[in-house]
Amino acid sequence: MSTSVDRTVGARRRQGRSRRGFGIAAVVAAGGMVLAACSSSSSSASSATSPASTAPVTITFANWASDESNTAPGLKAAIALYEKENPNVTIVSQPVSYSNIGSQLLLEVRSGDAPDVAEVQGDYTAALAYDSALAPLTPYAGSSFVKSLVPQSVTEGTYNGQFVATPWIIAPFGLWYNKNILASAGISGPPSTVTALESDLAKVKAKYPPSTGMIPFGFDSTNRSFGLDINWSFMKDFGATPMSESTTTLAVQTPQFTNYLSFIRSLGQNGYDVPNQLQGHFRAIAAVNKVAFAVDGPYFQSAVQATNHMTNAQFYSTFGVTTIPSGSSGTHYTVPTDHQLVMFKTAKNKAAAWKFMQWLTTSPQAVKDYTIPYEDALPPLKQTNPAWASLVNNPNFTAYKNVIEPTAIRPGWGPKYDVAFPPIMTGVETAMTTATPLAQIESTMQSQYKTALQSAGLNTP
Amino acid sequence: MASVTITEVMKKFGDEPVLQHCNLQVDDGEFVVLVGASGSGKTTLLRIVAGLEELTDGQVMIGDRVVNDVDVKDRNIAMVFQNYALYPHMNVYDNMAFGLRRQHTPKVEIAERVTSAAKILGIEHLVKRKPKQLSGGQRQRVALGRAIVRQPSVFLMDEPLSNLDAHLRAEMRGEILKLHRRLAATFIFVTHDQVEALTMGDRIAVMSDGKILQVGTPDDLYQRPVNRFVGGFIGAPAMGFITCDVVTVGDGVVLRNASAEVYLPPERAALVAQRATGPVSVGLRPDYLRLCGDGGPAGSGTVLRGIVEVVEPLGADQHVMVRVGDASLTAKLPRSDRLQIDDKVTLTVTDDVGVHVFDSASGDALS
Amino acid sequence: MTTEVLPAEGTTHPAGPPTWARFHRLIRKKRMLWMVLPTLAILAFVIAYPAVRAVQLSFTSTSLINPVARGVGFTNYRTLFHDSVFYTALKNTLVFTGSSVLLAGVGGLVLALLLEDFLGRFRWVQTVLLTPWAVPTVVAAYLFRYMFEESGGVVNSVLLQLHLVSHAVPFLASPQWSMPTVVLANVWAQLPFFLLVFSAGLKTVPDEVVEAARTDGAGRWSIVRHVKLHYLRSAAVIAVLLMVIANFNNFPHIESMTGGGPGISTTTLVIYVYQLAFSSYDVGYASAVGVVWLVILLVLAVGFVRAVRMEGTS
Repeated sequence: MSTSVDRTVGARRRQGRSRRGFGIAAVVAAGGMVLAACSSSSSSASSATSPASTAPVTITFANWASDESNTAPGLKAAIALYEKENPNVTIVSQPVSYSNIGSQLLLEVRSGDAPDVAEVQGDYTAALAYDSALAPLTPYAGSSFVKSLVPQSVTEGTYNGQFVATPWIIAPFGLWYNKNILASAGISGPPSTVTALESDLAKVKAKYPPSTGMIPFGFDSTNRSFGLDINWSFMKDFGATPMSESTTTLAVQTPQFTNYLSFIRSLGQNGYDVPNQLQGHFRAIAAVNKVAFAVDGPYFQSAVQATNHMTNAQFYSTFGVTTIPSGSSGTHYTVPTDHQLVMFKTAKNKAAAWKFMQWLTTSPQAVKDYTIPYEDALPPLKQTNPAWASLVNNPNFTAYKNVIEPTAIRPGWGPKYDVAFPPIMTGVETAMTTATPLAQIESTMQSQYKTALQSAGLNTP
Repeated sequence: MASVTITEVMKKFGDEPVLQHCNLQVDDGEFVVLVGASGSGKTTLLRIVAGLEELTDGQVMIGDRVVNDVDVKDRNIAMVFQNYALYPHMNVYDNMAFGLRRQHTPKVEIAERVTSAAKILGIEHLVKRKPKQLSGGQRQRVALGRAIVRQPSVFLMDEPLSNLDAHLRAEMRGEILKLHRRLAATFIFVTHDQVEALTMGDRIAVMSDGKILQVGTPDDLYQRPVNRFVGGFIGAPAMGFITCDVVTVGDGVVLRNASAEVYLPPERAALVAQRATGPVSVGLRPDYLRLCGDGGPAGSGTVLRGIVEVVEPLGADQHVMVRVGDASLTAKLPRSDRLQIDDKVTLTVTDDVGVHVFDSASGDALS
Repeated sequence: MTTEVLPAEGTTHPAGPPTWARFHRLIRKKRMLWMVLPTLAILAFVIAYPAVRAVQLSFTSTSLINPVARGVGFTNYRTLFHDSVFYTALKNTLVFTGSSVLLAGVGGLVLALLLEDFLGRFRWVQTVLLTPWAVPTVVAAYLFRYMFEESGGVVNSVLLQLHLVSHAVPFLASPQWSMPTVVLANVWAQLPFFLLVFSAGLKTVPDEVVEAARTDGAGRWSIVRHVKLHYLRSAAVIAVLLMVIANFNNFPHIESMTGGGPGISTTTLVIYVYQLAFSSYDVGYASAVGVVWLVILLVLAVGFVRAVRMEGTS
């Protein structure tokens, strides 16, 4: 047979192919390395300030308000109004989804492509602040303006002594409840403590078994920084502070945190909550009266109304809001999800940008036409303005201003927060959905945090 | 019992008739050949006997069992395909053993049957090879071996030699015949080659256009074709045809056209005169034609005047194609007849056994 | 100079397009090289640059918050070897990929065999069965999520109504059920691909060989097992390896349905890398995980190329 001839021909072809293949790969890799070397030097940010003038100004404004259907039309109208009153100013609104905006802004800062102004919140603000990407606002705002703002919201926007994020809407978490569902379950009023909450949840479940599709407690337990934000106040109720920027271990292997995990486990085992669901998931279900209690911000209202088209009057008669239940100490805690506006160091016309920021957050026009109707939230002003006083004259807003906002605390936002939330929240979910011993969950959290700190280079305080 | 009885079998594809009124009786142990051009329906008929095609009407019996509704695997037949259809991923042994293994035959018996079949076919040294490592002839033998080991009642062969070169074909013809004698089984063999048909078949069924035109021994078909098609199909070189009028001359009959006068013995001539309804087609066997020469026309006095078109020397004989009128006749002449193209010649018939008369329209034999 | 050697008559010619030799000769002509440069440049930019950069980053401690990269040698890789989340993610990736490909492959094969003889009027069945492939992934993922929801999902409603379960099954809320549910959604989308590949493959099975098997006495199942499957082998190898690599990279299904949760029960390597890079901003470590993942995929890709080459010459 002539198979020997075949092998020679085939082998030679294969050799030729692989030699050629290596050749091409080498050229491509070399090209890649050249490119990588050229671009690994990061460009330094340049700041150029110019005095406010009547020359045409363009301000880029990245935000998620125009990405969400219930707030987009309102913001568009507000921006149009501002442009009308300031004919030389063009605001370019850049819609970015809430879940993407954190990483997107950080990437844009790195590539020198940051917008002038951005809507941010909580942990995102901390990331940008620690990244030294934000322009200090006091020079533009002035101390009297700052004094006119709600103090907790100012603290929230201050990092390393610098006021870098001006509050736009006041939005701490509150405990929302459906008055009709509570009444029918024999509950006279919303719970003030966690213990009372647990007994109320049992009553709701007794009255509405799972087959009715009722969710007693709409509580976000997802693996996101927002998920940890929501859980933080409950952790404080049990006396636990899981992490801080100044330590390199989690404070989770403590009796306090274990009690908190037990509470979480009972939520899962009793079927009070649906695990691994985003907060937004519960809003639509609440709109059809299938959620008894939910932990959410004031935007709960607009999301619900967008689903069921209730009027404000109908909404206020169905839904009430109060502080997050307290622990045995009686102290209530809540975590703010205030939306803030920041100005980047790379903004070209900072004075003009600040003027827009101040108008959008505190002008009577913007508050009356956007903040209250579309965000269903309070502006960050201590004083009520007659222009919109009537709009906030209802039990929910009153509760927010007088009762809930004063309990706002800032969780451990910062670089460590970003690597802490995955081990903590996956542990929380594991506690909620499995029977794994809590001590084991806690030690897994700890070791994963250690790994994460190490990999992020944050293990040296 | 392994006879095969085909009764009034009809097959239609949609509205198009592919087989009509097919009747054939194959006796146990016979070697019958189905011969015809492509599209004559011979393969379809074979596949109906196998059970791979369904008939539209009629009946097929194997032995004394009607098998119309019997599935292929239960008919106890074996088929050898034109393209061998070997299992490409199995070696020769496994190809042959496949059917037996499906029937759960014990391993020992499988080994016995396969090795004995391999021996008969001379392929024992190839059992480990895969089909792609075999030549055409070897694959053919494996296909045969696969059929043999099943010990079927009937062997059905669909043009198994068509893909082989001439030399191999001749060799395999002999092999198959030897096999037939050795196994004493019933063989139905399909081919388009009339030489194969004539040399292999105990009896031959000539098919055309979905009909079986004539069934008979090679001799029957050669000497007594029942119609023009069979006459022209059997015999090499082929019978030539001229169109003649039937003319009464005195109390006899002559078949005549512008270039020829053909005479038949009185009984045959009378039959022709009786049955002819117009001009007739006269078939002339090449081996019964010779040059007129000095002695004049032979026997009956048949003369055919024409011009030489082609001369094919073939060893001791030569095949000469002569244009007679507007027809072309082939004459098998001795080498000694020196002829050239465009020579004018007169041919005569040595024996009227070589003359066959057919109706121009229907083609049926008239004498 | 290579002389063209012809294989002897009767042997099989080794596979491989004859144009490679010509291409090689062309390349040697230097002017032709200039024409290929633009393509190489694009390749370098799109493929090589991100890959090389990722390898570079993996040796640093880089966070999006603190853009100054600090070289840390192999620390990230050392961390990786002790990272329990990484191993879980790897395990989840293998489980997700393996079960998706197995179920979609077997399902596609079975359907292809069943539909093989559906001619004429029933051919629309085949078209209908191919539609899941056309549905955008995220849309399909969300649909499955709503279907499998614990309260109000249609699957639980049906199960409860038929009394097959006494209370709703937490398909997406429990670590045991979340992976199978996500796999199911993935299989629904991928089965049409296998159905298509196997249907095409079945058309290449020569009728005569099947008929020979029938006359040999093989029943339907025997014919499938001993004859048809053989002809599907090369198509199957290629399809499986393609889908293994595709599933390794599957992001939309898992992210839309469970976000990697509950806990880390559905976190695959892709999800883990995404979270590390864009939620925890830890780009250096994410790159290290990415490099390890790239190595695993390269091994698979080499296996794929080898298998394809072997199939081509068989």
